[in-house]
Amino acid sequence: MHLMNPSGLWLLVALPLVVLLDLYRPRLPLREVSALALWRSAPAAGQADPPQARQRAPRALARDALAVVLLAVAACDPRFGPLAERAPSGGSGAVDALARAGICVAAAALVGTHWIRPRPVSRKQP
Amino acid sequence: MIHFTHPLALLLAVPLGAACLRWAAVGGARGVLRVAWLLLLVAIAAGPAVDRFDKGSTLILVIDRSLSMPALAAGYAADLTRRLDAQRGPGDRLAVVGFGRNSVVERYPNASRPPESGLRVDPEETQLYDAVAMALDLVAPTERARLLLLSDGGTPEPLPAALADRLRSSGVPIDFRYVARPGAGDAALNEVRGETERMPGRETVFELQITAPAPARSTLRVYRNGVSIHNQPIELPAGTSRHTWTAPEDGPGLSHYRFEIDVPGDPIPENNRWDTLVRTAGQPAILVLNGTGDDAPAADPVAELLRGAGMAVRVARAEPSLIRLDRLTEFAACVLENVGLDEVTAPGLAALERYVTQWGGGLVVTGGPHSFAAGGYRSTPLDTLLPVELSRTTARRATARTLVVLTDPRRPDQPEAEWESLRTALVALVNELQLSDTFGLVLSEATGAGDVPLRSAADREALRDAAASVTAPRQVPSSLPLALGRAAAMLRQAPAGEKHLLVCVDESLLPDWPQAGADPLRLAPAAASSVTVVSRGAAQPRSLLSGLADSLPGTRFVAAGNAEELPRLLLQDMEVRSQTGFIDEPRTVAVPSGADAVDKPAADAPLGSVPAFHAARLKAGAVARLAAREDPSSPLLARWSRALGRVTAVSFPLIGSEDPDAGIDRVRAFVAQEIRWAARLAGPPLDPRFTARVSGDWATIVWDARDNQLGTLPAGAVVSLVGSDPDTPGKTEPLRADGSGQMARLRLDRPDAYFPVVRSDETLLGRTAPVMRPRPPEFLRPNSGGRAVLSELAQRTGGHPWVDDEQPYDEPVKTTVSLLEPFAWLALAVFLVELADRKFGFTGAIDAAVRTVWGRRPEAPEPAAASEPTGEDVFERAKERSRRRVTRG
Repeated sequence: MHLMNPSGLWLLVALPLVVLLDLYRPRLPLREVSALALWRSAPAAGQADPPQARQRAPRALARDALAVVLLAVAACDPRFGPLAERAPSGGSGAVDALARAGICVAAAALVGTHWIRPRPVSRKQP
Repeated sequence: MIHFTHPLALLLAVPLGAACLRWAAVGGARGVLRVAWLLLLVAIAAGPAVDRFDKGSTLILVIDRSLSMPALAAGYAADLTRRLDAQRGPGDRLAVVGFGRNSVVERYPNASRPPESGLRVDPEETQLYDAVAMALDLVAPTERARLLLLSDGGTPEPLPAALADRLRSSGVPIDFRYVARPGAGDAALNEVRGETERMPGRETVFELQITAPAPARSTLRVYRNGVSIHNQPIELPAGTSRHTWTAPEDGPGLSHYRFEIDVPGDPIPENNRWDTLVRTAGQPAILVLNGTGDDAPAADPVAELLRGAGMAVRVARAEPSLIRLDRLTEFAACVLENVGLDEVTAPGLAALERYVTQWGGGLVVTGGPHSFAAGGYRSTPLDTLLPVELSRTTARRATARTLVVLTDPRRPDQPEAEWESLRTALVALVNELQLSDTFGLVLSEATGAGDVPLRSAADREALRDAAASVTAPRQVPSSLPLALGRAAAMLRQAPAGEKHLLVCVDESLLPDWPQAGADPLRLAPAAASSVTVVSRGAAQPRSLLSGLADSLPGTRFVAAGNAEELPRLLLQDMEVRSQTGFIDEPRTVAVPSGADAVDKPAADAPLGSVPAFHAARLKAGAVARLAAREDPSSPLLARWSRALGRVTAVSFPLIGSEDPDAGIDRVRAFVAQEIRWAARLAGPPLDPRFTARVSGDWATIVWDARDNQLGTLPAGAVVSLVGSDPDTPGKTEPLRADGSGQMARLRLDRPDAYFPVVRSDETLLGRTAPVMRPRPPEFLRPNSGGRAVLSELAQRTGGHPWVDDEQPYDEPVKTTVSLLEPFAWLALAVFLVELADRKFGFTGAIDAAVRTVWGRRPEAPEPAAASEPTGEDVFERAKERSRRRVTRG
């Protein structure tokens, strides 16, 4: 594999920012509510993410970081195969385009996993 | 216009959009972020790009301007440049590089950039590859360019490997147009052999080697120092022939011989010439320069003294034509006998400095009212050569002096720094005034508003303030005649005594100096006893103001190269006018306690007295040989070695021996001994085993070790070539073992006389006869393979021989520029915003703000309460309320 535009690797400078964003957890102010029924819709006091979210954090961070890496690789215009076979104009072939599409789809999938809404909890009737 | 290299990849938007709708549909700003992220990824997958039409190309015309080019080549190059300029299309650029020994950019690709100023091509050699390298420097990395060489290809060097690599990597094709003189039918003077050093009274036989293509009748001309001394026809057979010519005997000194053969119809007459130098060495002589050139014993006591001591002496008037390195090297030492700086001039000073420090000559300066500080030596190269530090005046002037300074007002473009220099100079002048002096200042503008009237130097503070605050009113035209009139009137009003006018103006004002009939200074010569004109600029005012010098004998002209020199020059003038440091009082001569015991006279022998002397202090490293008995710290005779040379300062005027009672003979003998030391006439002689020979434009200095009785050569000996011209850079090369001796080869770059000197550190070991390049290198080697050189360059780079009707500029080319990276940066930005939103949830606030501004819906009217039945049946009304309650619940 050859990188036609190695300067695209500069996108990797965003990785520390991704890590910092992941480490930072905002603490919400205490809120008084008027009824027990409302506790269900209010977040836990002084805590943004529930404990199970903390356990998911390393995997979420890995997905985000991997998405940035894939984006940097796509920006580098990777080519597969010997350079000597390239057209003088520098155009990429079908293999290269497929590889780039795969990289983009993978990046979209990695980020999209954060977007999927949690399945609603069904109340079982006694 | 943006397009995609693989548009089919845009179909990815369908499955990605469907997945998003199915599992992650969300509205508002968050939804916009997600859609943007996905769309950018789809765009990246499809390969965004943009087309760019590169319309212009760069053509660099590289023109050979060396001497070997045909006479018509320059005109052809100018015509070609005009045509190529006219053929330029939109975006095309044309640059021109001229070359010879050096390369000069005559026109940059960016036409608005001015060409290299102050540089001109040295045509004596063809450095083709340097010019090609410079032309490649003008090409930007992504630029389409082409070089067009117009040359005869006569370069002496092979293609450097570094340039060959650069040509390969740059991809810039080199086309060429071979332009050369016809080589057929060329006759040439290949070599002239003869002695380069001879004894006086001996003839020199020169052997000439001449090549002619066919039998021809030629004329041989010989010049010595520019004067024709031989002009006779000679018969040249076909092929190479040898001829001899005998040079008549000549007096001691350096002779420059030029041989020329004149062959009718010769296409290259420049190689029919040969220059060589011959030195006729006699007894080492001393050059004595005085103010008159008078050789009589009564007029020149130094010459009388040296002749009496058995030394060969030549007396001459100190003038610039004699104080040149090639003339000075004929002598073992040079004596400046009470000579002022005006006679020596700046080029003479430079020549004296090189004569002493680089050639190893001796310099002796004797005292008097016109030398040392009184002669303006301070802060000059001569000052640095002297073993004594010149002191300012220590004796008070008996007469009062009036000093009037005339200077010009501000020019529109005159920087403030120049005025600051002038103010500094004026304040320094005021500080030098005595209490009885008077000072005035005149500005050369018409109104006289800025003038400082005559004022006594007793009021020094006020004068200093006035000098420090001198400035000129703006927008006032200069009027030198009016200002001269005011200055003359000021001098007339001054009290009796010396009256000095110092005119310090720009050279552009000097043509306005009034003619003799209208010049207030010449109309009333008594107004000023002396005038000094200091012109700022390079022009020589001598031709313009020679009439003034005739009318006022005390006039001095000084040219200041820049404003920074003004303070030094004005102070120097003050010192010259006031004979600063020259104390006209007798002093008893004594030998300092630290002087060499061998030369020290007997303690009881009186050394006598000198009538006057210059106040000075001994510099570190110098040796005082004589000093004043009244003031042992004041050296009267001092010496030191300055680089390779030797310098002796005699700070008192040498007088004749007509008064034997004064004991001056002992002092004179002491001085003669010191001059002998400076000229190296005492002590071991220089090594005579060095010889020099010239081959082409190379000089070879050889040291022959066969005569071992003279000792060996110290390690680290080097050969230095000292050029006669001050602009000729010196060259140094270490001696290396070669057969039975040592040798060094040095290239003669300039058409100049070079004086080889062999030294070890700062010890002079020996000298050889001077050497000279026979003719320009262009004509020392036959140019036979010029076309092959150009063809090789073209072959290496994909160029070709260029013809006149060829399209010189490249056609426009479409290039595709990928936008992958900009899109990726944009996607990264969207991703980071989306990531931050996941953490902070700010899109909710954005949505709320948007709804507040644009999304507020009109309040729906409350549905009218259903009219309650107005029946009187209370039971029915209760049933109706229950029904509504049930419906709401």
